[in-house]
Amino acid sequence: MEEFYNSLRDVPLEPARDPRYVALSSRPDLQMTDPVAELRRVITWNRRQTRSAQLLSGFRGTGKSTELRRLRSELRAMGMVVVLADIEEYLNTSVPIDVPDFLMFLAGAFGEALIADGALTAGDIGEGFWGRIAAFIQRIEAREATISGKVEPAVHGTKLGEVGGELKLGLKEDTTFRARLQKRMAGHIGALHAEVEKYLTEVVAKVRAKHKPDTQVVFLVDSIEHIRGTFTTANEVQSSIESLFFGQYDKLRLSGLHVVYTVPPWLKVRHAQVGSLYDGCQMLTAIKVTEKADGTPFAPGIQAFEAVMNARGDWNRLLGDHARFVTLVEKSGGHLRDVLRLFIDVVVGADALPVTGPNFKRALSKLKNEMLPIADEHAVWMAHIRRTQRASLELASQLPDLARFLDTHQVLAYRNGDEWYDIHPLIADEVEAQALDVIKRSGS
Amino acid sequence: MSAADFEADWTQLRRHLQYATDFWLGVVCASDIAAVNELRTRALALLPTQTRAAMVRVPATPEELVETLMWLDRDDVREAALVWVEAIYVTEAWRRGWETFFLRGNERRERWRRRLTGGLVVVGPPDLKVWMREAAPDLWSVRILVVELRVEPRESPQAPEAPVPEVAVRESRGRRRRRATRSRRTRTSSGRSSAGAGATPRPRSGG
Repeated sequence: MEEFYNSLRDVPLEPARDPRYVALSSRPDLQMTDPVAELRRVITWNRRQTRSAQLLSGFRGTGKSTELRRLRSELRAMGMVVVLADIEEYLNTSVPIDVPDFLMFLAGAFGEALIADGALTAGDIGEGFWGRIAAFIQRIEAREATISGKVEPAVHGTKLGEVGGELKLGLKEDTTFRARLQKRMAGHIGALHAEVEKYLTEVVAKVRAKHKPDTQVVFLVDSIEHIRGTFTTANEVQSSIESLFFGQYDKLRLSGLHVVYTVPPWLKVRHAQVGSLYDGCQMLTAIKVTEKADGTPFAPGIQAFEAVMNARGDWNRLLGDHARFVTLVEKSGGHLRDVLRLFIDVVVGADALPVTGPNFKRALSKLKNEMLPIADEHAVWMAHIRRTQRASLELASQLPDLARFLDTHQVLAYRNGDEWYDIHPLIADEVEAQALDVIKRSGS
Repeated sequence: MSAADFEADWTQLRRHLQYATDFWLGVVCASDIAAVNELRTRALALLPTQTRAAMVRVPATPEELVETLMWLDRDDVREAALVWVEAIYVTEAWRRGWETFFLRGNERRERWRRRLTGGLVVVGPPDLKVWMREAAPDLWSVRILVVELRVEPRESPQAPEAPVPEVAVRESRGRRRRRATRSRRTRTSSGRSSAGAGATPRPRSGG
């Protein structure tokens, strides 16, 4: 039991060498496109262009980080140099993001990831990016001081290493510093972009000099979808992401690089055509496990999760019969993290094998209770999403709420042919009843 | 809440403690300190043979709760088999304290997942799960245990019967062996090792 429990833990897997990995989205019977295959195709077909930018939108817990690792592994097998960076290691994800800090993060993280992966050494790269860009900022400040008098410097050090360290740390830890830097660089985005491009071109040339002259270099940028404000800044932060990926998309195609950015799922809700600005836009969703029309089990979805659970342990011994397995998968809404979580709850609640009926039901009601209570106005909205199967927004100010529904799995997205939305099956009845009650009350 | 419900909740917590060989996150929502005391006492008693610490933190003020974020970075906390953070007060100041804790915790969750080697259990008032869900959806999404101790609410929760700012207990030899095996596996697979992994931390008493 202990072994089964630990095999159910939800952590990013290395698909190439972890026997627990099952490629769900590449199963043809699920009628889904395989996002990794699509991303890979664009990169391999764009070899001559040597630059591309794609988006990967992933719902929390659908295996996005694992699929990014799968992409890395497949592209490496084709001889490409592929590095992955996590934005959370460089930027505070609860404050608005702007082009200057994002470009600085990209260039700094790219160089460091190449060194960490052994594609280049620190000696190969030479002058580090952080020192170089800090010196660039100081040059701009000196010029501004000449024109308009005294300028409060963003970075204070005098040696390259010193100012570079100050800049990197300030971006991550000091929100005042970051706001000042954003303001200072607002009028110099073109020059900063050129400086970043110049640096990236040089680094990519070094990679090719060390590997092969036609080596393709791929940069996977993870966790951008984790950028989120606080209760008071949510709208401001989300606007900044929209403005970056919708308004400044041209700055995100980087010299000599194929880049994949993970973005929040709500970006497509707000801008349905955002994908057309990039070379591709893929989405990882929940797996369809029931028919949209009548709610009956969708056999290929159930079978896909059987493959997932077979790779994790002896679920049959735990549950005792296949009907319970189907119930568990249906009630998860086809969301991988929730399937694993439901199994964990059954494992820790089992007093005997197979698990008794009351303990099985208890696991289901536990996860359901965790998603409740729901505010009346949200229940009405969710019921509307269920009826229309669309996650449309009446007001832009509602975006943080929708983002939270998606983040907490209260609303799930599916993609088989069309893209559609539904309430999590564990709370669907409860939400519909609550919405009906609210409507009745407001009508009386 | 019936005794049977309490026992079922305890069984779930106990099994997470017994089975988990790595970081896990649990949430306990409660309004009755007696039930929380019982749950904490049983959890600590489960790690009886004094080899690896379980750390308990009961902040006296909302500010101390927020400072707990720094406390969680300490090496002895990192090595603990169980980290228990408890504050079940229901005033507005405490609500804001928990919100700050979760907002910052949301940013630190990957760090916790990488660094902490046992269970992190946060214990707060009945609305804790809503506050966490709203303020820290990423952190919320990695929880694997939510216990809701449903007891008749009181107007204001009692203070803990006996103050337990930090205590240390240790884990069983079997658990230690499993963890050592895992640590060796980690070293083998990643080529890196964490200095001090498996070391016995100093038992702590007092704040």
